[in-house]
Amino acid sequence: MAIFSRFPWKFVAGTLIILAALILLVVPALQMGTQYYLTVDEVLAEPDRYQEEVVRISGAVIGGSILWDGNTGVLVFSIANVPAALDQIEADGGFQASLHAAVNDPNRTRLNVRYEGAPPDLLQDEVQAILTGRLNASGIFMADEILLKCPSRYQDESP
Amino acid sequence: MIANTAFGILVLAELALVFASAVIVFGSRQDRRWLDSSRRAVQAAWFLVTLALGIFLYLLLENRVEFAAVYRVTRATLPFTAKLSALWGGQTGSLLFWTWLLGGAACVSATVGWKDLPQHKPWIVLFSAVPFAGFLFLVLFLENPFARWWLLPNGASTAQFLPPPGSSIILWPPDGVGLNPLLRHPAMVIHPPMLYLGFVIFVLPYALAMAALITGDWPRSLFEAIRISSLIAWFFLTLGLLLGSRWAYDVLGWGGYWGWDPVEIAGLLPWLSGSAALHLLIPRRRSASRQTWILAVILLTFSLVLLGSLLTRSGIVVSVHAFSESTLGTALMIIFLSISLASLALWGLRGRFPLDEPPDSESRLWTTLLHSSAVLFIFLVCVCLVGLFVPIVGEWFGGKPMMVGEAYYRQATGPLWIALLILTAIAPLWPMRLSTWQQMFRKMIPAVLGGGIAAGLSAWFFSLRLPEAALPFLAGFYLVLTLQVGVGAVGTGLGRGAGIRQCVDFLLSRRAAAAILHAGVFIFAFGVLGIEQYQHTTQGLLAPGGRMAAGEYSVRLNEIVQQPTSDERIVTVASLSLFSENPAGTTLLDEVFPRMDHDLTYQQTTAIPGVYSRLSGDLYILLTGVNLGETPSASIRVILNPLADFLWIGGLIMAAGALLLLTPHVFLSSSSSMSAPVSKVNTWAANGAGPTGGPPG
Repeated sequence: MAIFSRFPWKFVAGTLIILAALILLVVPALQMGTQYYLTVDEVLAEPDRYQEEVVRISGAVIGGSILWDGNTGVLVFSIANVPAALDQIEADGGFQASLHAAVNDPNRTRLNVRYEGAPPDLLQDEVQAILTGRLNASGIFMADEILLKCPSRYQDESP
Repeated sequence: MIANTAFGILVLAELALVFASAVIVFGSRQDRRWLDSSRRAVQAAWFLVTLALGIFLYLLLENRVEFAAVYRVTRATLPFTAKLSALWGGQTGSLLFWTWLLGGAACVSATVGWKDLPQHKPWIVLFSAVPFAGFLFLVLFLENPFARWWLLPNGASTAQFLPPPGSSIILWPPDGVGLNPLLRHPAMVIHPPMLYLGFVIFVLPYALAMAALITGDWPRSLFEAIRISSLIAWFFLTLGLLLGSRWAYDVLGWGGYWGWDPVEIAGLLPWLSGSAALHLLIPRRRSASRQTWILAVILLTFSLVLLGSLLTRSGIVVSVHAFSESTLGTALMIIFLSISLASLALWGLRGRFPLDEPPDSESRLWTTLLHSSAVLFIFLVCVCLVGLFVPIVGEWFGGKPMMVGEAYYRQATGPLWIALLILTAIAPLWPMRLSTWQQMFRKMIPAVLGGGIAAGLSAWFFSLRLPEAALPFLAGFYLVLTLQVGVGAVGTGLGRGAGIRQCVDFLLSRRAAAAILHAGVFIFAFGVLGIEQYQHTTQGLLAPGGRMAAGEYSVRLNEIVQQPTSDERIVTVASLSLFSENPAGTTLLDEVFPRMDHDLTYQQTTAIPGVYSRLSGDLYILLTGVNLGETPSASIRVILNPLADFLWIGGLIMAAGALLLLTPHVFLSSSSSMSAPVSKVNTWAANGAGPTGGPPG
C-alpha cells in the first residue's frame, strides 16, 4: 500500500477545494455580470422582449442627430445598425469603414436613443456607441449608460 | 539622413543583443571574458536605443511632421509638457519608450555584479536581454518610429521607412494632428513612465527565476535579489496605478477612480501577482516547495506584464485606454506565448516538489496566514483573467459579442478583497511568535475591543450602515494590534537598557515598514468605501446668480466665460462659489472653476472638474453643458465623494512603506547574516508582546 501513502492526498484535496471556491466565486458573478452586445436589428426584431430585459446594444452614432437640452438635462441621438459578424465588417473594409458606411447608408436601421445626463466627451459622428438600457413602448431606447469606443481614425488618417 | 542614421542605430542595437545572447548560449559560460563581452553588448545596445530615443524626442520637439509617428501625436501649438507626453501618447512612440525602459532594466542586470551568484550571472543577463531584443524587433520591423510619409504616384500617401516603389517624394504635411486632449493632464507626464517602470523591472525577478531553474542552484541570496527587485517593481507599479486613477478622477469626469476596464485590469494583474510573490518571500527559511511556488508566481508576474502589453497594444479588448487596432497583435502574441510557455515548461521540469520534506521551523500559523494571502491574490488574478477572456474566447467560438461588466468584478472580487483585509488586520501578530490558534485569539482581545470602539464610534458619528462598519472595525483592530506590538517591543527594549539608536533601528526594521505599508492599505480602503458606498450626485441647471443645494453644501454660479486659447482650444469656464449649509448659517468655503475644453483639432470636448478637497471628502463639480444665449445658463453636476482623499493618501503611504522596506538599513537586516541589533529587537518584539509583557490595550 506504499503507493497510497505516497499519493499526495492533501495536495489533491487542497487543489480541489481551491478550484471549487474559484468556481463558486466566478460562475454566479459571470451570470450576473455578462451581457451580450446586440445589434440594432436584433433589438428591433424582438421589441417586446427588450422592453422587459436590460441589454447592451452597439451601433454607430449619427453625428447630426445629437441634441442636448441643458434645461432638462436630456440627451437624444440616433444610432445606425452595424453588423456584428466579422466577415461582414471585413466586407465593409474594416471596422472604421463599417461605422462610416452605417452612418451614411440611409437604408440602415436606425434607433433613437434617450439618455438623462450630459453628453459624454467622446460622443461624436461615426463613433461606436455601446449602450445599456431598455426599449420603451414607443420604440425609443432608454439608455442608462453610454460607453464610446475611442475613434481610431487619426491613426489611420494620412495627411 | 537623420531617419537612416536613427534606424541604423536601432539595427546595430538589435545586432548587439543577438550577439550578447549568442555568446551566452554558445560560448563558454565558465570563461569570464565571454560573459564580459555579452554584458558590454547589452550595455551598448541600451546606449544605442537611448540615442535613438533622443533622436525621436528631438523630432517630436522640432515638430518634424514628415515622420508619421510625430505627425499623429503632436502639433506646432502644443505646449512643452504636452509634447513630452506625446512621446508615449501614441502606439509607436510608447513602444519605443517601453523598449527603452525594458532595455534599461536589462542594462542594470548586465551591470550589477551579482557577486553571490557567479553561476547564475550569464543566465540573468541572457533572460533580461531576450525580452529587450524581442521588443526592439517590434520597433524595427512593425512600428518603425522613423517611418516617413511618401507621396504615391496616384496622389495618395503612405507611411513607410523605405520609399515605396515608384515614389521618392517625401510628403511634409503642414502640421500634425495633435495630442489626444484626454492625455493632456499633468498626471499623464508621469503616470505612463511610472507604470512602465513597474512593468519592466519585473524582468529582473523573471531573469533571476529562470537562472535558478536552469542552473538548479537555489541559494538564499538569489531569493533576496528576487525579493528586492520585485519590491522595486511593486513600488513603481503602485505609484503608476495610483497616478492613473488620479488621471481618471480628474479627466474622465465621472467622479470615479477605477472602472474595471480591460486595460486597467491588465495593469492590475502584475500588481496582484507581484503582491502574492512578495508575501511568499517574507519567511526567511524557504523550503524547496515554497521556493518552487515563489518561482512560479514570479514567472506568472512577468507573463502577465507581457499579456498586458498584448491586450492594450493589439486592439483585442474594447477599452477607452487601448491603442487602436494594429499590426502588432500577432507579434506580441508570439512574444507572450513563447516566453510564458518556455517559463512554464522549464518550471515544470526543474521545479522541486519533495513529498517528504521536513516540517518548517517557522511558525506554522504564521506561514499559513502568509500563504493564504498569496492564494487570495492569485484568486484575484484568476477572477480577472476569467473576466478578460470570457468575451474573447466566446467570440473565437462564434458566440455573439459580449461584455463582462463591472457587476461581475464587484461580485467576484468583493469577498476576496474583504478576506485580504481581514488577513491584513491580523498581520501585526507576526513578530509575536505564536504557535497555536488559542494563543493568537488570546492576544487579540484588546484589538477586538479597539475595533469595536472604532466601529461603534463611526456608526454613531457618521451613521455608517452595518456591513460597512466592518471596515472601521478591522482598521481599529489593526491599529491596536500594531501599537500593542510596537510599543511593547520598544518598552521591553528600553527596560533592558537599550539605547535610542537601537529603538530607531527597530522602527526602521522590515516589520515597522510593513506595518506602515499595511496602514496605507486600510486608509486606501476607507477611500474606496467612501466613493463606492456613499457617493452622492446632484444635477441642476443654473443661471448666473442661481443657487443649488447638494447635501450639506450649496453652490452658486457666478459667471460663465468662454474664450479661445493659443493652442487651438475653446475653453468654457464656470466660476462657482461653494457654501457649507449649517443650521447656524451659511459659510463660504471656496470658489471652484470647472471647465469644458473643446479641442478644435480633435473636435472633442473634455469636462475638467473643479474639485474642492478636504479630508472628509471631495466636492467634485462638473460643468456638463452651457447655454451662452440671451439668458445664459450652465448645467452643473455636483458629486459628493466622501473620504476621496484617503484613496490618494493611503496609496502614497503604501508606496512609502515599500520604499522604507528598500532602505539600505533594511537591506542589511534582511541579508543572510542577520546583524546583532536587529535580531535583538526581534526578540524584544516577541517578548514585549509575550504573555507576561502585556502592553496597554
